[in-house]
Amino acid sequence: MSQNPLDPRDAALVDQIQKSYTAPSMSTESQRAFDQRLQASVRRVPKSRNLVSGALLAAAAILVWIQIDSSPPAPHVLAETAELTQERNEAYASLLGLEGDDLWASDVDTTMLPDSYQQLSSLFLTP
Amino acid sequence: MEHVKPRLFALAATQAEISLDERFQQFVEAHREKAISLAWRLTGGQAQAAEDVAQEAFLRAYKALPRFRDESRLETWFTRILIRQAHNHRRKHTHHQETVTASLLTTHPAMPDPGLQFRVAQALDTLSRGQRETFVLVYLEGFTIAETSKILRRSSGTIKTHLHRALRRLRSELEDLFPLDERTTP
Repeated sequence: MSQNPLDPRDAALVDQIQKSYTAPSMSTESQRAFDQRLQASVRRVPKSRNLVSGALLAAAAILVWIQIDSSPPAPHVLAETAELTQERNEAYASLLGLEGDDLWASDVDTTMLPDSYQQLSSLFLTP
Repeated sequence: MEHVKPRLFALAATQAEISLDERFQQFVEAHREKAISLAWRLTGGQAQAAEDVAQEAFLRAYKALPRFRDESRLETWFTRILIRQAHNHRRKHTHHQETVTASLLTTHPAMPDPGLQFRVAQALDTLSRGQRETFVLVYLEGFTIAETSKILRRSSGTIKTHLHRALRRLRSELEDLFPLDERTTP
């Protein structure tokens, strides 16, 4: 209240409201009844130990899920991928006019790549 | 060692629970009266509603207690929860408000002037939510503007505006109870 000084009229009004609008003080019995009711409610709350166990269990489940999700693909998937990669490499090599060991040569003319790349894109991206 | 580890863990957990319960008990003892008083004022002077609101707020505080090491932050958070619970209660019981308040006030003869309390409760009911909560916190419960700003998550400017409008409204609502000439007399 001290941070917001009031003019005398408002101060008197607030004073009257404060005096007339006050909760009746609790008896010791009422306080005890209030505390007992609160204790009964608190007893129904799951203990933090259980919450921690639950959180750990959830974290473990997430880790297992991540592990499964990031595990290596099955052999048949790997084989299909390798086959597709081989086909793509061969198509790429034929467009560049390369054969056999040329594929691994270091003196491949890279200036050919942009045009060939366009052709490759049209080859693989066109439905 | 295989047998000792689980027992040590169990012992540590039990001690943690005891300290949590002790901390909660201390928190309840320190804030019970103030919490019920604030809830009472925000729910329109209903004793049972005030207790219900305070119970729910304390229960939430118990659940949140391990997250708060700083007691002052916990207190701010608790007051915010209490105010929200009181608001929820008001919203649910709006149509019963007048009847309930009137009947409760008339059945508590120990209260100072129940008629006057009822009029003040009615006048507060005409304020907007922000105005009512701000007025009760600052002028009736003694929170500073900075504290109220933190609790209600509003700027100090907004708090001051709410206070100004609340006072203007209450002046006009309670004009007949506290006449102008009496209030202006030094």
